[in-house]
Amino acid sequence: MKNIVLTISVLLLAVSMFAQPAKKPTIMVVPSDQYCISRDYKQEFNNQGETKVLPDYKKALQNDSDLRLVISKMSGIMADRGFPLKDLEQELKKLENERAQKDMTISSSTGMGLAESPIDALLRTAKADIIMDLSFEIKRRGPQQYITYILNGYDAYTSKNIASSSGAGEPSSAATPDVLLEEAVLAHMDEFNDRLMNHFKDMFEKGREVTIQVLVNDAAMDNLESEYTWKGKTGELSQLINAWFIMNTVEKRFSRATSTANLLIMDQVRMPMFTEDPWTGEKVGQDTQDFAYKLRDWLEDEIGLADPIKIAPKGLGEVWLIIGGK
Amino acid sequence: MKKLLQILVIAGLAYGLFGCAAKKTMDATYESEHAIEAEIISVGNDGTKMIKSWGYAKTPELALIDAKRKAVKAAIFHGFAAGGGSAKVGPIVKDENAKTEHKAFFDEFFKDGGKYLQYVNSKNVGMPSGEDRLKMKKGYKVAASVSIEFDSLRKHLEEKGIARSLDAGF
Repeated sequence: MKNIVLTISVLLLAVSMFAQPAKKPTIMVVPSDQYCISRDYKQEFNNQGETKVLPDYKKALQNDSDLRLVISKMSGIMADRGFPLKDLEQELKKLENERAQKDMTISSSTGMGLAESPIDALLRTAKADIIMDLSFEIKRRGPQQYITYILNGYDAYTSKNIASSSGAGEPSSAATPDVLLEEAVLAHMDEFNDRLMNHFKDMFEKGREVTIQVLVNDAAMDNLESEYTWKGKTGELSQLINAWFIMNTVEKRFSRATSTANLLIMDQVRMPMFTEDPWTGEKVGQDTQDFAYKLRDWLEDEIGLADPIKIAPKGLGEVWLIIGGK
Repeated sequence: MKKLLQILVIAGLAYGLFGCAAKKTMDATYESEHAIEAEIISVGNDGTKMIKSWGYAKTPELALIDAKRKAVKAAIFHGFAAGGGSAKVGPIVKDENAKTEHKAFFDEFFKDGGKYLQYVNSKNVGMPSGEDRLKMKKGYKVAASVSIEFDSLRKHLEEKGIARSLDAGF
């Protein structure tokens, strides 16, 4: 009898595991800042009074045939490995359409305008989990030409480098730049994908890494040092939030980077890859916002926090919970 | 007579003992997976790798076949160091236990005239010569320049559930 129960349990577990695959990460190739700016594909962005020089991807894609060739080659290889790439050009168009709507949304908030750079906006709109940051250069040595090639994979959630491959190709006096570029892509993709596979393995074992910031608005009645009681124990709100992270992270993996009365930053938070949809009960892939909603619900329902809490995504891997921010 | 018999028995035993040891040493060199010598010579076309691999056998012809087999073994179990303008290439099968877990599959795959031959093409015109063909005490060491159908080989092993695909679990 015991054996039957055990067998059924194992079968059910197996079915639940295989029936719901994890949310497949989306990947997008983006030319590096250095590549764009050094070729004058750049734009200026005013970030709260400070002028910043940023890459202009649209200009790069419209003017650089070498770049298009390399991206196209990479797209083919990645699609073959089960990861069709997000098209940067299409995402830029989508972003343009969204920009007007977003401006309206920000103006209706409580004045906590999010300083979101065009890159952050692009990442958020494209929702690419992994950015393949690419740069290359055709160099000459006497009559010969060769390619230097750098490919870095960044986790858009954490900005951490998760895979890379770089090097210089063999010089050739016969091959055209197109052939050399194609060769450079072929020469480096296997190494890059091997490292990417290690990253996926780590993600399945230890969860996806994100950052959650809890901020307190001036209008809020409480701050993070306000005392609350949960399960018969009284503690500061920041301590209780810490307890929530202990309960809800994979293997209790997270780090309290900053903790003051008005700001709590939890980084290197390993959130589970899956969650249960609160309405349907279906097991689905979890993103940072889903994870933050759970914390908000817990603060409102379990702790009884009176202040409203606003959830503000900043990029893909970071969410701000603003207490008193609605 | 009795003494002579004793000496003969001891001599026989000693020969058997050392003879076996010497054979085992040769086997270790010839058959061991760790004795694989293979390197990338240039970046291949789409989905292929250009490899130079060494094989050992009593005749140059058999050594050439061994070199081809070892090139495929290197692609599956060892990968290749960076070289010939290419970055490092990791092994297709990353699980160290796969070789023993799927022994029957690999024995069949690598048998004489086995399926491994579908994934390796010799680029040599005729028998290798010069520095690529070395006469050794007990046979020949021959280098083959081959093209490995790396992507097709990887897909085949993924389909068989032996190699983990990049999108496994998603």
